[in-house]
Formats: sequence, C-alpha cells, structure tokens
Amino acid sequence: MGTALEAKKLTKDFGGALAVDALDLGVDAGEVVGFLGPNGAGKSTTLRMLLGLLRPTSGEAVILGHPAGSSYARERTAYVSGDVSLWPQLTGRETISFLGSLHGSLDAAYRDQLIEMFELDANKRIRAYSKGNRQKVALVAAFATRAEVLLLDEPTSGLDPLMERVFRDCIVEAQQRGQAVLLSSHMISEVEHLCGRVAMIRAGKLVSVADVEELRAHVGTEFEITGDVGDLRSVKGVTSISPLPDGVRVQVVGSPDALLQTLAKSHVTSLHTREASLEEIFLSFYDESTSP
Amino acid sequence: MRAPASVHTLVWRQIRVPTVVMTALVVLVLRVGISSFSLSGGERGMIALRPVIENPAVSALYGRVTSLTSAGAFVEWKMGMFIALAIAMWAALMATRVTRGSEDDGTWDLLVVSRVGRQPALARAMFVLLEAGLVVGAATFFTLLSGGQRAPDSVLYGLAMTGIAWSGVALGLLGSQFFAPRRSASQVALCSIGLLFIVRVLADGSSGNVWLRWLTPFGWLENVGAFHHLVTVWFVPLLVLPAGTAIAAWRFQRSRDVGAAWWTRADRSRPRESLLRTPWRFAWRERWGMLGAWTLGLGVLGLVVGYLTNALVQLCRTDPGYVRLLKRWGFGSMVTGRGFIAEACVLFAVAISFMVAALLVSIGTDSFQGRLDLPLSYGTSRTKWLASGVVTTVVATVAISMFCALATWVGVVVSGTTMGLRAPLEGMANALTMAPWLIGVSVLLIALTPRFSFLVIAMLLTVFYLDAVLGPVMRWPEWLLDGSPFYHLHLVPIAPSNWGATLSLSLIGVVAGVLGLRVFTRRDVGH
Repeated sequence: MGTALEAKKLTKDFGGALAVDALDLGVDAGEVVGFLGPNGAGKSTTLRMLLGLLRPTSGEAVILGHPAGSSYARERTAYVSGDVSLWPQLTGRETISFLGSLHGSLDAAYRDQLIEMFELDANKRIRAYSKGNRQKVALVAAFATRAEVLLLDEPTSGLDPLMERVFRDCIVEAQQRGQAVLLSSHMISEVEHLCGRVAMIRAGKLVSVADVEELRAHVGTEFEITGDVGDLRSVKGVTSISPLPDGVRVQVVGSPDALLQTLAKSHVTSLHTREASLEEIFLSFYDESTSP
Repeated sequence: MRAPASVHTLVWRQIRVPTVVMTALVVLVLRVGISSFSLSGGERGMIALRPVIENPAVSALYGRVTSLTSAGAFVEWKMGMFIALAIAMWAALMATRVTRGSEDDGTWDLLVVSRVGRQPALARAMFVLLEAGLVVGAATFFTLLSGGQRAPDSVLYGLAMTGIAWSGVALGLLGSQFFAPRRSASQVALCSIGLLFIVRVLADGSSGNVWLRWLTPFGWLENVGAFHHLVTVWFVPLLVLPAGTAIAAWRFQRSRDVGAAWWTRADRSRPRESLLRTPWRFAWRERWGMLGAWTLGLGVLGLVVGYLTNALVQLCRTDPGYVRLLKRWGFGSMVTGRGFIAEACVLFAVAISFMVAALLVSIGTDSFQGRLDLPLSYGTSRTKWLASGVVTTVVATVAISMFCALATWVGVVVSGTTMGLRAPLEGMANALTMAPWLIGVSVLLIALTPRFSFLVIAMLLTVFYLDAVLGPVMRWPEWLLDGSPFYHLHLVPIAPSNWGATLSLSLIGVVAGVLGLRVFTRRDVGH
C-alpha cells in the first residue's frame, strides 16, 4: 500500500523555541503508527502541522500526495485531539452532523452504530457532557467520516476502560478498511496493542521509528537466573546485571547464545525470560535522552 | 502569602488591564469636558445654553438640569450619563469575567477545593470588584479636583460614580448566578443596564415620567446631583442596593452546584440540522442568540429615540429664539424632526459598529479557544470560514439597521410627528457607510490578535467617536479629526452622504480586509 501521510524534514520554530526539528515520518495506508514522547516533546505540534493548522518553519507535510492543509488533504483527513473544544450550544448529534457536512461524507449507518457502541446520549447539548462524552462525540465524528487518514492526538483521554476497548475495535476496523492512523498517546499499552510501528520523539527530534519487535531488540531480553552462575559481566550481549536473593537478573541485547552457553557450564536451578514491555522501551529511550 | 490574599491578587490580575483602560477613559473624557467648559465661555457662556438644556429631547439624552454654573455641573450634564453607562457596562463585564468566566474555564474549581473555600473566594472576588469601582470613583474625584472643582462636590460625584460601578458589579454577579456560560450572563447583565438606561431616558423625556428615575441607578445618580442640587439621600439606593444585590448573589451561589446556573435551558434537544450543512449556514446558527439580542436592543432604542422627536419639534415651532440658540450652539440640525433623526442615526452608527465587532470577533474567539481545529481539519478552508462570518455579519447588519430605522419611524409616528419612512432609512443607510472600513479593520485585527481583537476594536471605536464628538469642541487640529471615521458621517437625510469619505474609508477597509485574509490563511491556528 502507498504512503498515506509523510513528514519530510518537518520543522517548527516558535520564535526561538524549536518544537519540532527536521522530523521525517511516514504512515502507509492500512497502517497504525504509534507516536510516543514525553510531555512537550513535539507530538501535538507535529500532528497540527500534518493537519495544516500550524505552518512548518521548514520541511513539508504531505497527505495522500497533497500538501497538508490543502482542500484535497482536508477532505480525506479526520482529527481527534485530547482536549476537544466544541460549541456548547449544539447537541452531540448536531456536532457530528456538522463535522460530517464539512468533511463531505458521513456514513450515517456507521455513525448510528458508533453512537450505540460508545453509549453516547447524542441528543444532549455539548455543555452538559462530561469530558469523556465530549471525547466520544469527536471520536464518533472522526470514525463516521471513514476518512482515509486519521490523526489522533491522545484520543482516549477521559474515556473509561470499556470505551477504550471500543476505541481499539474501531481502530482495528479502520486499519482493515485501509485507513492510515497516526496515534499519539501516553497510554503505552494502547499503542503496544494497536500499532505495528512506533515513532518516538524527544525534544522535537525523532529518536526512533521501528516495529515494536525491533524496539524490544534494542532494549533486549531480561533473564532471571537462580543458582550459582558465577561472574557474567564479560559475557557477550550482557548489558546489565543486578543481584537477586538467590541469583541474578541479567539484561541481554541481541542474541542470548553466549549467555546460554555460559549458563550451560554453571549450576542453574531456574531460568525465566521476559521481553521488555513498550513502557520499558519508552523509558529506556527517555533515560538515554536525559542521562548526561 | 495567605490564601485569601492570593485570591485577592489573582482576581486583580484578571481585571487590572480593563480597569486601567476604563480609568484612563474616564479621566480623558472628564478633562476634555472641563476644558470645553472653559472654551465655551465658562459660567457666562452656559447661561445662553439654558433653553437647550430644558428641551425634553436634550434632557432625555443628557439628563435634567436647571443651570450649568460650574465645569463640574457641565461635565455632569454633558458627559455624566454616558460615562456612567460605560462604567456600569465595564463593571458588569468584569464581574461576569471573574465569577462565571472562572466557573466556565474550571479555574473556580481550584479555588473552591482549596482551603480558601467557595463562599470566601466569592467574597474576595466581590471585594476586589468593589475596590475596582472605588478606583474609578477616585479617578473621577481627582480629575475634577485637579480641574479646579470644589472638593466636597468632587468627592460626592466620585462616590456616585462608584455607586454606578457597584450597580454594574451587582448586575454582573447576579447574572453569573442565574445564567451560564459567561456570554449569556454578560448579555443579560448588559441588556439590564441598557434597559435601566432607557428607563432613565424615558423619565427625563417627559415631565410626567420623572418618578421613573426612582427605578434606575442612572436616575439615582441624577437625583444625587452632586454639582447641581445635591440630595444625599439618593446615595442610599445608589450604594446600599448594589451591596444588597451582591450579598444576594453571594447567597445564591451557596445553594447551587459549582459550574451550574439557576436558569438553564434543557440539556437535551431535538436535532435541528438545517443550519449545520455548510459553514455559511452555521455562521448564522452560531450567532443567532447575539443577533436576537441586538435586534431587540436596537429596536427598543429606535422606538425611544423616535418617540422623543415630537417634543423637540414642538418646542422649535413655538420658540424661534430657541431655534437660533440651537444653531448657535451647534445643535442647529436638531430644529426639525428630520434633523433630529439624522443626529440620532450618527449615534446609532456607534451602536451598530459595536454590533459588527461583536458579530465578527466570534471568528477570533473560535480560533484561540480551539474550536476552529475540527472544522479546519474536516474539510472547510480558512477562507470559507472567514468569508461565512463576514457575509453573515454584513447581511445581519443591513437587516438589523433597517429594522432599527423602521422602529425609529414607528416611534416618530406614534409621537405624533409626520415623517416618511424614507428619512430614517436614509439616515441608517448613511450610518452603514462606515461598515466596509470597520469590517476590513476588524478582519485584520482578528487575524493578527484573535484573543484581544474585540478589546482593540472597542478601544478604537471609543477613541474615534470621542475624537469626532469632542475634537471640534476642543478645536483639535483637522488632521486629528480626519482620522476618525465618525467625523466623516454627514447628517443624512438633511445633508447628502459624504461619498468621497465613504470611498476612501471603504478602500482602507478593502486593503485591511485583504491583508487580514492573507494573515488569517497563513497564521498558526490556536496561537
């Protein structure tokens, strides 16, 4: 499938404060890409440039081969932010209809289905909604347009766990329909569950774009070994060792072959392995960035 | 810092800039008034003005006085009512800002759950608002004192203006308890102030209605008469009733939910989607509450002004000396019904200018409050969004202006004066010649500074109006007068429209509008 959205050397400088620095990123049709980074890293700024809401200082944002913000791009994009601002006097249904009208297409049957799935009382005015319900209005509008590109910035902010599950089902369906999704989120479990690739941004710079498996390989595998295993510091691939009451915890990057060969010569009573979670991967990148 | 002191500082920070602007404006207008008294020949010059001030139509506009023996008396008569109106509106807006506005944006929650507590937090906010009223009152006192007026009279007039400010605060506080969001609370408070002002106009427009003054703070201000007849007992309602109303608002808050209002429309509604299908239609839907309020307000104003026409015309018919005097004092155009309507239409032009600004700035408000993000992400272009707001404003302004002309004509006819509908229609059409300039400049300001666009436009309009009204009296240089668009409004229908100035102003408007469109389509949204 072709590239649905692309950031080419995308840069945003807010009068001396470099929010995004020469960021390159692409999302293919039918792909869900997670976008992770600490607060203030430049995630929202990147998404807003991809929407044409912010003008890049340099570089280019392209949606389906057209400049971000062009009418072609806008008619094929839907957006949900984590802090949705809507017209308080409209009802939820009116808001969804209005946004659908602006977009030019709205799958009415799917909209009704989404309203039911998200358990949204769509005839209430926006001012009477809780934050979570306002978020549901924005999500229903975005999914019901069947837009080819979905740009989601903390979209589940305020949703309860049951609704998060509904959201995940919608993303899976969108992916199966060939829609491209860029999902910025602080909920790492959500990203881990939904995204094939993850982009990590720190201080405006993209530090990594890779499959979750590749990222795991970067952090490595954790071994918890009990028994008398001797000194493992010189073993190839071992990056860290910490003591346990009756053994050691060892972090290995790359192939564990050398470690296993060494352990074969020792007296091992138990051996447990655990792959790093995306949260640990994220923290490892963040630690790298903050360490002197 | 102790918690209550922190709240005190916080509230002052929210209102300090508008308070400084209001205070500066009051000082400027008072100083100009004092100077124009001297330039007009002082007390001796005022004797000749006596027949003018006794005219019911003039009384209705400026208030009833019997003599103008000092600069203070002149200022109180010529400018006092309009300064009071501006102060009351400013005070009401400040009150809704620190109370309902804080509840709308959630910052009030932080105060309520802190150790300050809900009732003490409101009490502190009220205290600051009362202090701000005192600041304006003190500025009034010092300006008059430095202008050579007697200290006791100046103190009392300053105190009376404080009472007006407190009345505005009280109405704002009450509006905040009963209505949400802030826009609704402010609209109700401002409409109430407008109504109270019109009651005062009606009271002074006919000798049989003087009792109506008892019903309005503007009437109490007039009854105090600090530089005229001084009846101190009227300080009781002027100072005590606002305090009582504020205490009532404080108690009302206790028995409602934080963030809620006593009066709310139903939270549920049948979908009405006919005005949601395009940005053009939505522009109407977004503004229809505001359009209704302006239509009602300008309609009532037109009726009242039209109704006053007969009183003036009758006096001019019976007293040729009075007509000569009116002409000598620059009120010459008001000797006929058509002339009075022409003068009134210039006044309507000010109100319509504020309406145009209010209708347009919702584009800027949507932008900085983040409501433009979704429409712009969902397919509509910035140009279309801006154009839909401008077109709606243009069509609504023309329609409401014509409605105001119709209401004025009805008032004229009801008062017993014979006049064709054409006269007020032409007058209002002339008032609209400023619109292209104002729309263009507003679009540019909305594009440049969406957050502060209304404040800047309102200040520009106020300064330009004062320039046009006070400049000739103060003999300001011609280039300064030329700078005001209001100065170029001819008295239609008794004079032809100033087409040359209209063309120049429209050109400026077009250039500013095009520049504004260019900035709006290129700027970062939400910043």
